[in-house]
Amino acid sequence: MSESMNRREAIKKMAFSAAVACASTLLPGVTFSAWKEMDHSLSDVSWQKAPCRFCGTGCGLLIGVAGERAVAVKGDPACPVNKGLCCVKGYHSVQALYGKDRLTKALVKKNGKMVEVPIKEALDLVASKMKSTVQKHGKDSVAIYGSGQWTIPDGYAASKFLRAGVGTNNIEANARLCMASAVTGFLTSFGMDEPMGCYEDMDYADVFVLWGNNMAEMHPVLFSRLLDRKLQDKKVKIIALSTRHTRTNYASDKSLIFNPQTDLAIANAICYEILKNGWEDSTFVKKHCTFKKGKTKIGYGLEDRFKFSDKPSGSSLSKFKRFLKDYTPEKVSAMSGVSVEDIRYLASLYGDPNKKVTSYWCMGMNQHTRGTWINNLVYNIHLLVGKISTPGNGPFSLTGQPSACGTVREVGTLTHKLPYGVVMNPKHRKVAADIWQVPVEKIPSKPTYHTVEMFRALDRGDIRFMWIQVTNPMVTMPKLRRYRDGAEKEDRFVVVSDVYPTPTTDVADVILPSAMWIEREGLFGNSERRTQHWDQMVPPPGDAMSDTWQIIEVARRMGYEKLFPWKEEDHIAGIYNEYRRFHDNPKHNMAPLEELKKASGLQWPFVNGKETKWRYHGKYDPAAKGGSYDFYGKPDHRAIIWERPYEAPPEIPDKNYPFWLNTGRVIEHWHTGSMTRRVPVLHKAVPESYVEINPMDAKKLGVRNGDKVKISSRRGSIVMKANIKGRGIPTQGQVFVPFFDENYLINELTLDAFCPISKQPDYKKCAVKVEKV
Amino acid sequence: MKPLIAIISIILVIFAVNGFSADKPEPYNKAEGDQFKKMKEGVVIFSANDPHHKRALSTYYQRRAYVGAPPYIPHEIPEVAEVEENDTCLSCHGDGGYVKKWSAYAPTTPHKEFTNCRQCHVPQTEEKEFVRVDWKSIAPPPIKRSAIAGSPPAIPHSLQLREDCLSCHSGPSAVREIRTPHPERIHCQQCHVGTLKQ
Repeated sequence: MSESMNRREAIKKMAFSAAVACASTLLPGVTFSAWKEMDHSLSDVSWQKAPCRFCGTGCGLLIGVAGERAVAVKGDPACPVNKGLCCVKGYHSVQALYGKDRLTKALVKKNGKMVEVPIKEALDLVASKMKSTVQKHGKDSVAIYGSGQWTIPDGYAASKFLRAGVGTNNIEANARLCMASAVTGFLTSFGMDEPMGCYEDMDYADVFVLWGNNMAEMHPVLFSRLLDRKLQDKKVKIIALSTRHTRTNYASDKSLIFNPQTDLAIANAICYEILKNGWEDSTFVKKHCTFKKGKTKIGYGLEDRFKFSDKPSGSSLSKFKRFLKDYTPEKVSAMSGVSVEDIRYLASLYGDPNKKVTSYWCMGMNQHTRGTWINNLVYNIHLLVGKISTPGNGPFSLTGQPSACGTVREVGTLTHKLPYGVVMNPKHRKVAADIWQVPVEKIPSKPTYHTVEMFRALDRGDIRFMWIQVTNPMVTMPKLRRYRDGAEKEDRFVVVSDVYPTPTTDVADVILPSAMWIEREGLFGNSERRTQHWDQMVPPPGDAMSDTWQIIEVARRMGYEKLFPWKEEDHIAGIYNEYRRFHDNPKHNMAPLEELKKASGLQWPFVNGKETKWRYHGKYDPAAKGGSYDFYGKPDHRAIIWERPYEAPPEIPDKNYPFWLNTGRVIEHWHTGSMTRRVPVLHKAVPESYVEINPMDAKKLGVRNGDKVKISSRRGSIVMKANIKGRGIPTQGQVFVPFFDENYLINELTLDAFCPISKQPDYKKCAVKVEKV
Repeated sequence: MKPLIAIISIILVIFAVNGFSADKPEPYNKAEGDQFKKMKEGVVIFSANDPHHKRALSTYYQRRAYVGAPPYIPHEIPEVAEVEENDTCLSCHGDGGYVKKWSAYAPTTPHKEFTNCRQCHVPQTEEKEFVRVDWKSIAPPPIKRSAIAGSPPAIPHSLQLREDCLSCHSGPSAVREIRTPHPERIHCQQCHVGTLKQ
């Protein structure tokens, strides 16, 4: 649209609003708001607290409720996460409840058609089908696949049902696709999961380093806190490491644009520079760290039944220095495309003893075929300079889902995980068996399938029954076509619990309508170990039922009523109180429910009525011994500095497929858009997906902004509009596609390679070709 | 503060000339259009009868999903990549003023301490919804409510992110129905108090 057109239209619109304004004075009492008005007035609105439904930031919201409807949102000024501010998704989150295509009745496939049935009939069918599948194909032929949007009670009920009831470890969650590398990174370096620091670090740090993290769009409220700090203190710096230019880069003091996968080399180069210049905190390293190395050339998990287990062996500071010789700034500059000066500059910021440094990352480091390694490497930097576990200093892994931490990581809805410990450990199984009041033999000791392998097992027929709750794998699985074809095979039974129709409900044999967010009571846990409770505020529509209660109903039908003795009125309290017993120790104690009901979230370890803001330091953490650092997650109370080399990704652009494909999000949409696309202001802002192309590449291809292009990988192809000089600009030789749009299934092109340690797939790197259509 | 004072003094001059006629809008007419043209030519700086600054309350609410929601961006904006240093949201919406490109007065933000504007405000590029939405909310509060005749009306909305009263209630871009007749008095909460449980 030309500028003059815009202006003319704008003037026309203004004349229209003047006319409307005039009419409104002629007819007093008539308003022209954009929404349907209720009889209630502003003073009828009650404001109730809830964590935001979307990302892992965990903003505190105040939901305005009038009658039986949610009508408005405010940021909760009492919440230390967001201090009263939200993002556009949070402000409009309540509208996601009211899409007209909301699922309100159970649907069952009869003669190839989905037919509405009473929810009792659907639950009967789910229970009988699950039972008969176990009888015919064994316990490990049934599975539950949930998500980081599962509330704590949802995940707890699912885990208990499968492990203590059915007797299988076939439980996974989509957080495997987004947080698994962060988990294995924490476990290998510190022996315990989740960050040592918290968002309050933002109030003290002098330098913020963002590792492949478009924080301005993906964690906007936190990014605003960084910008706020910069306004207060001009010396504060934001450094963005990234593979494409985003809004984050434009708001940062410095951008380091690197070639995909070379973050591994850059992190090692920073360690090289730190040690070369003697910037390390040698007392800290001597007292609190050990050195280790693991296997190398560890593979990519592309083949079915891929197995890997690391074999750590001892190393030392001198061996570590020798290992780093391959990562001089000169060598790494040649690999990464980042200048020698910039690498040295970044190292000097980490190395400056007078600067407090916090590092942030999210999917860039986690969705990585060496995701565990790059997590380890960033910890190495912080450990070498002793900048960790104190206000303003620390590595901080951000999460993308509201309860990736609270449910998937803490309750443990991954195949190997128990609420306390892992299934492989007999002591941990004993703890679970005691609390669950089942014989310890009931809980299987072997992990079964991680997410990618679970969908492969469904395709192969090892799994015959899958129950999917609060997630949309038929949009998000990498190498999607294989897994969709697998789910659609004869003799596979798929149950989907959701709030709207999605490509995943398209493959379902039974669809259960779920109660969403504030339509039921629940708890989430955010990135900074904050547990957040909310009450039911509005009734769910039609027959919709919470995911927790759906599981309990099915479990009871299968004869496991003893595992779920609670009444519907108080089952959330019953579940939470039982769950808390797993973490009854100073390292993970969780706040009692009564406290959580009062506060806008409370951080664990919650000991003697107090939250712990920084772990592993005696000054702040009651579990740490002495007045200084105590990395109590490891038996020797030391954190590990790992030798982790650069290794190439499995698929690199070549002659036939010359571009890197990177996928991700935009601020307006959350994940697969099944909620945010139903929010008018969000959909109208970004109505469809597109492919970002570098202007130079576009010129070579003869493609202009808005032209249709075909993107193809070895697995599939897609035709979509080109976006040139849009909000993000990929480097030459790279394209970027947001994955929220179910009409453009970009995951049909992506590769199902994963980090062999975390089993998390890499959605950021595969090879494609781009053609003008 | 300087631009604010400037705006206030301009408004004072206008009020002196026109009285408080801002309360009674007149339909768009050619004479006014001509006046506007003159204004663009620099003959008149600002007039309370100028049709181009008659932002009405209905327009205000048309751009919001509910009372208190962040408004969408009603005009096209350059993408990040094209934004030059001096062409950000705040260069127009920070202090307000006449924007030639849109032939309009830019509404001023009541919270210019926040600079990541598109965290909350997004432009609209599509007219149709993805699916129809059954969204309802409460009616906007009635205006000019006084407890007793002539007394200062109470504040009918939350002040969160809207503590700078004059950014919306005064100046050429102020919403017509809620423009204060005494913008020179800047200690608003001396007379206007909140009525809502916040």
